Amino acid sequence: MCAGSGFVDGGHPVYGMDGMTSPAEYIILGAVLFALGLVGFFARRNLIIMFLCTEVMFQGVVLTVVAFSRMWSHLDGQAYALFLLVIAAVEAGLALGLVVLLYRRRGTLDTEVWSVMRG
Amino acid sequence: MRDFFTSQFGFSLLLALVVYGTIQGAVAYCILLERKIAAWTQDRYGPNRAGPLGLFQPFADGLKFLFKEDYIPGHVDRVLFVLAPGLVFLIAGIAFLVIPWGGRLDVSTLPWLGDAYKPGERVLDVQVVSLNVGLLYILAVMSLSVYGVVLGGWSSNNKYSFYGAMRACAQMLAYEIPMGLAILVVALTMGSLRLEEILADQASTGVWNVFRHPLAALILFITALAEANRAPFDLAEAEQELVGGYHTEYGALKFGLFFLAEYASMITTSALIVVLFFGGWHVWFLGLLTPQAASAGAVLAKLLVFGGKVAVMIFVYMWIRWSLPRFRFDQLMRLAWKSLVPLSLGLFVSAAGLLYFGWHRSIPACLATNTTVLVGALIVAARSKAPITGRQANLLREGLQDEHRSKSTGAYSVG
Amino acid sequence: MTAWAVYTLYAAFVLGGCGLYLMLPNPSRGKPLAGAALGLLGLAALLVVWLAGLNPAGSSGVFFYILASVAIACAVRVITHPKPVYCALYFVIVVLATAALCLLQSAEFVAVAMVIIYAGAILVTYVFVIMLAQQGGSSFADVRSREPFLSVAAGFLTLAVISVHAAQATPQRHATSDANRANAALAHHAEHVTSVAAGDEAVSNPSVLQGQVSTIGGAVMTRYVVVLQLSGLLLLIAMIGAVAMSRKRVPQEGVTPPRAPLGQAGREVAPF
Repeated sequence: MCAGSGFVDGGHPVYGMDGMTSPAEYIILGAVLFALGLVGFFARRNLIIMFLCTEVMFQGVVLTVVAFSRMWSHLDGQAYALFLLVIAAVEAGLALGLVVLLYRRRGTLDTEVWSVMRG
Repeated sequence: MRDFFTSQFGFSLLLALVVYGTIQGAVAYCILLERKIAAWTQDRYGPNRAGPLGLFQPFADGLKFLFKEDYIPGHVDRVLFVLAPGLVFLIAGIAFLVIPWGGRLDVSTLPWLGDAYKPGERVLDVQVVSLNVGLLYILAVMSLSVYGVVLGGWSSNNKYSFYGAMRACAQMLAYEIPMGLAILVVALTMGSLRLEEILADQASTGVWNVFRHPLAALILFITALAEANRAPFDLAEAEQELVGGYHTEYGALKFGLFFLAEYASMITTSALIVVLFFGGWHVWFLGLLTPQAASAGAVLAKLLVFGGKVAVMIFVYMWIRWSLPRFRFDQLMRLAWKSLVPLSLGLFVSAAGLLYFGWHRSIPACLATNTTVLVGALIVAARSKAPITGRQANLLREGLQDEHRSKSTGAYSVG
Repeated sequence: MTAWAVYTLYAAFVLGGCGLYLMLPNPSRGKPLAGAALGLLGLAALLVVWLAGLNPAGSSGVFFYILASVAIACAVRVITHPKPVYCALYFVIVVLATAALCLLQSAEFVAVAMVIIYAGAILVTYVFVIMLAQQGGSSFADVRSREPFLSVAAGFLTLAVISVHAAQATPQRHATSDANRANAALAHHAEHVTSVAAGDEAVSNPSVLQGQVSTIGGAVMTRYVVVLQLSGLLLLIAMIGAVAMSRKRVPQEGVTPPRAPLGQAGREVAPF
């Protein structure tokens, strides 16, 4: 097993256009995107923007998974990324349906109008 | 310098510029051709004042687009309003990058480089990028192209533009699916997502895919018409209902960019259909046109043949535009979801079945499955009670009946 | 990862967090220039860590740094822009940048699939935005944020924990002194992976990575075939759910403005 195809020092990159970049950089980038999505999800009040923030988190995860895939020089990570896309599609369909339902009921996208509890 | 332009990267760069320029020029003359064909169809002369046979008309049109006042209405969202035509134009300009225009070129056969290289020393692809996933790349770029339209329609802050944008969006989402499935039928049959491999396969066996899967070719053609927003699918810019649709508020150069992009995407989709189903640069009985032939003359001949096929395809596009009336929106949606999607799904499943039995390359087997799918669909259609062209749900009548019930007055005349 | 790299990373996160806090929508502030400046400083510190801390042997990944900066900047705009339409557009750029980063890692198929799927999904979102959000100014909710300080603190604490641990656990390309260790770690992990993927040499063999589509397809259709079927089932369920939801008629609950009196209907309606 030829270990670390793309990024081991001294070796010619086996594949990829930037064989020099370390996977840690991609993982940090993925974490940054994930955290930004998280902050947005907590802080924004518009339902659709909250939905977009979850999608930003998905982007971070996909990036991380693909980076892992390259780190192990193994394609399973990319298969995971494809399944993640399926989940993202499912989430988009259901979340947008719910958003429309909520919008029809109250006529606004603000989440604060849903903070009233009725027992 | 010479070495740079005979490397694949430099050559690709050069080719991209040349093809881009050619497409822009071709677009100008496509517009002239469109107007001529419209005139012939309607028994008129068409533009015939500028130059012999009106051949200089494109220059006049271009100058008009350039020198009109570039006016931005006061009520628009300025950033997006300016961004939208640029986006449409940009996307129309990057889709052609993976089209294999002319096979491979042996640099040593170029007359002015004859003694600099040995034969076979440098053989280049006459294709800007050779992508592993070329077919999917084209799909991806095409699905991006509707953003500019939706953006333009929304930022215009005008209800007609907005209707146009919404229609374009629904249409794109609906027709993307049968298009993707029809393309996947080819991918299954050929076992590759590289356009140049698909083409070389058809050229070396001499069997174009249209002989195997004529139904898939037809579906791809129809969806390509819809994706390029061409009549009878031009609901997004229906003049009679929506003034100009999404580009109602646009004028001068920005309108020109929308216009150019429409024709450029027409050329790209024609080239895609030609590569996938009509054998690209291949014609029979011409020994010159084989995948192995890499001489400069062969490449030139291939380019000419390819261009000719694309021209025929574009002519058919225009012929259809000036012969058929526009769909109504419910008909458009029904055509996509109730006819094209089931048909292409059936084709896709049957192509997978053929692949399983190893018959995916045999013409009779493929034709038989195509016929079966088509006949099955026709039987289902004939047995269904739903009207073919009429509205299935008369929204107006239903709404009025609701109102009727609530008010219990009978003073409505329902057409 | 050296100690100062970790501290620079923390500094980057603190700067970015402060900048983000100032940039989140708040009606009592004007244009958040200070926040933007702080955020840019944080991004610069992150780039310093990437350029010097992780990769001291010098780097050729110019594209990575450009695309990563674009992705982060646009993601920040997604969560800070008061107009939902622009948020959706910035998100498109985030997706394109991410797809390009996947391309850089030679995950061509994932990149293209992402563009195709997200182009459709986001387009729908986008249309919803422009249907439901009003043209012109931002709404009441869009210029306010909910607990901005706590959300930023929570998000960036998570970020600090994840990224530092992940970066330290990842075998990375160091100067030659560390190379052997990294090599050994990689070989160890690779063995582990190969043993997991018993009998599936093609998937883990780097030379096969070139013809990726067929290899991924093979993996998906053989080892992950159950997952594939399950995801198909999930899509079906989601589709049925979406259809059921959209057919449901819901009563409007009293927040709609009262109807205009008969003579005035249509008089005060904006052009759009």
